[in-house]
Amino acid sequence: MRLNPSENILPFEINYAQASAHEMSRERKEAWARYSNLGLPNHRLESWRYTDFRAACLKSFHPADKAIDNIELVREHESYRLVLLNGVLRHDLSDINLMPDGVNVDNIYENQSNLKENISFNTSNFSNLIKDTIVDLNTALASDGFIIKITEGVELTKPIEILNVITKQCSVFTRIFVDLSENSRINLIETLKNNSLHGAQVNHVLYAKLAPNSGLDLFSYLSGSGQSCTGILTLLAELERGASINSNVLFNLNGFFRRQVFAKLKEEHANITLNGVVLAKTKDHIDNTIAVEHCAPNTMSNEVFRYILNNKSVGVFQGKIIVQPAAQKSDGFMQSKAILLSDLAAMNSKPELEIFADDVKCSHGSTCGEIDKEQLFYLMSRGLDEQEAKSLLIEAFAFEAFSAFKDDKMSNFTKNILADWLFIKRNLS
Amino acid sequence: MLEVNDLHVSVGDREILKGFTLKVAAGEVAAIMGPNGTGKSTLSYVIAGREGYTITRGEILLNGVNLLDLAPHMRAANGVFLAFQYPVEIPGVACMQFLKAAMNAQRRSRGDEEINTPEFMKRVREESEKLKISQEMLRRPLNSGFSGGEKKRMEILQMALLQPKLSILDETDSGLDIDALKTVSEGVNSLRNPARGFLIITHYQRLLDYIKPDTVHVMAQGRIQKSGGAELALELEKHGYQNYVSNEAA
Ligand SMILES: Nc1ncnc2c1ncn2[C@@H]1O[C@H](COP(=O)(O)OP(=O)(O)OP(=O)(O)O)[C@@H](O)[C@H]1O
Ligand SMILES: [Mg+2]
Repeated sequence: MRLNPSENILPFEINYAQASAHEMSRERKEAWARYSNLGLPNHRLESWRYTDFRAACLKSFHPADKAIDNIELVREHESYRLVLLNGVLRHDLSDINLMPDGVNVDNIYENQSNLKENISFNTSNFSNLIKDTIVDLNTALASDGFIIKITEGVELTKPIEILNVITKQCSVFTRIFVDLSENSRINLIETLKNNSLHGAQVNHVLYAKLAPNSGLDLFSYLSGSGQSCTGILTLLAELERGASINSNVLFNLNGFFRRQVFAKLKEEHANITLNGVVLAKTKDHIDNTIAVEHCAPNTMSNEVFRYILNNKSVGVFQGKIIVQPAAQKSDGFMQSKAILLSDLAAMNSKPELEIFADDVKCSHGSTCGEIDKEQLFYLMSRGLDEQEAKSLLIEAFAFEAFSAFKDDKMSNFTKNILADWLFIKRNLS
Repeated sequence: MLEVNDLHVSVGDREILKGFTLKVAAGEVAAIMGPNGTGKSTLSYVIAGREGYTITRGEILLNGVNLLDLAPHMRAANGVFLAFQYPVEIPGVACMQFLKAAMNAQRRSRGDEEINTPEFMKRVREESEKLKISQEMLRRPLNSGFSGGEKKRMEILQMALLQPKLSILDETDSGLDIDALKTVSEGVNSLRNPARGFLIITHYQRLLDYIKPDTVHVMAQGRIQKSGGAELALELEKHGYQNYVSNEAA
């Protein structure tokens, strides 16, 4: 079953052939071996029941050719920007040499010392949570990416932005390793922009390691005017004492996509907030799968997701909270809600609690339905037409998931995207 | 201005309004009183255009326009306003955003320009002060977590800003404390003019002490049983509805 039936070879074999032209670390070779053995995950694996990734990648795309494309990229954010174009760093478009004091950015490919590779490519700490080969595949094939190290005590106000742009049919494997030292804090914007009109395949991993009392504000935005982007965005997070992650993800792309999060709250008072909004227009399939492991006492996790599903789109939410025996007085909250704007849209929701400690507070809830008729009538009785009333209600619904935004600029950015989306939808329907 | 003729309305297979007929002239304040479950809220919802009712017979005309042909927002555009018996909570939609959207929607439908922000703020401040609605309350999401009385005052604020031709107040007095009852009544009275009509649904004479009705109608069993002047409300206060409720329908 591991073979790709249409080509009779393993998907992404060509990527591996190219990658292994360079010297490869043991981690990467082993990761490829594990992947070759199991292949891509399919619906027979419990956590891939709703999202059959193997079926979605029957035909695997090649890495992008090395031609230098002329491309203009508008700056959407005031940030230290790092651009990956079709999976490869674009120095000329990146601020890699403009980083402020206390921020050290290395390209994983150019400065390929074995030591750095070891740090950034070893994901064995997550082996109890990860049951498939998606991250292995990324480890083996990452064609580019960064190691970002933040010095102790450094707090950046201007965000660092990783802009992953795809302009043509290709497969992209990128990896970012963020290493936050004690008491440091950054804003990170992770943007995927698929502008390929002939499809794209993406496997992007962000590995964040947070030392005591450090903080990461993460905004992940999946977007683009291109067609059918098939892919996985992974967040691996390890948090030490008092560290915190506040992550907001916004989906606004055409395609078949999963964002998966594996988070370990390793020491006391570590906390993670994982919020997200899914805007799905046509035949999109959007999946958020999350596993948070509470390993220590007094750790907190909080997840709020909102799905707005139009036409024939499908939403998936799978959230798992694991509380280890040592993690007394932990607090885990998980909620997903979906609005179905069409009879053909569908939502699959699967919350799971695995609790091995007795003194914990964990809860989950999920709902799925249409727009509330009473609210709609109330607004219309005041003169708003149906579309305007619906837009207002949808906006309010979506923003319940973004209440944790700390940054007004980001909050406004998402508000505008939502308004545009609703406007386009309105003009199409 | 408002003419309801022989209106029959059912929910499922149960008929609730059974030949309801009523006229309200321009400038008139008409009060409707009647026992619980008689169909007063049903009537107001049907006038405002809520879904879920089957209209089997009759018509509702506002200045000659048949409201039953119109979607709720077009009825609002034609000047209908319902102050809900139970205002709906809308978490996530800020009061101010909603008020502006409502005012602009109605302006657009009249072909007027949208209101500019300073003008809007000024209007809201003026009217909310009259109704003793705090700025803090206006910063909150619409009706969510508002007390019963706060919700009712919010309804009247909307009425004041939208300046409807026909205002239906469905038990706006219930849940109001004595002072709020006065301020709300003043709000209504200040809107009274020869071009506007009011339909005031209430259980209590007290509201009618503040808002003097021109006509009082007793509604029971899905239609008007008796109409009269303000004195009819006093009679009801004394004798209740026993004379208007027949046994056969109970
Ligand atoms: N959607 C509905 N489904 C079933 N029954 C309904 C529905 N709406 C109204 N009714 C019934 O119709 C009758 C009239 O209800 P309505 O709310 O109009 O009464 P009301 O006169 O406003 O009463 P109150 O004075 O208590 O406010 C009641 O018996 C009520 O149960
Ligand atoms: Mg009622």
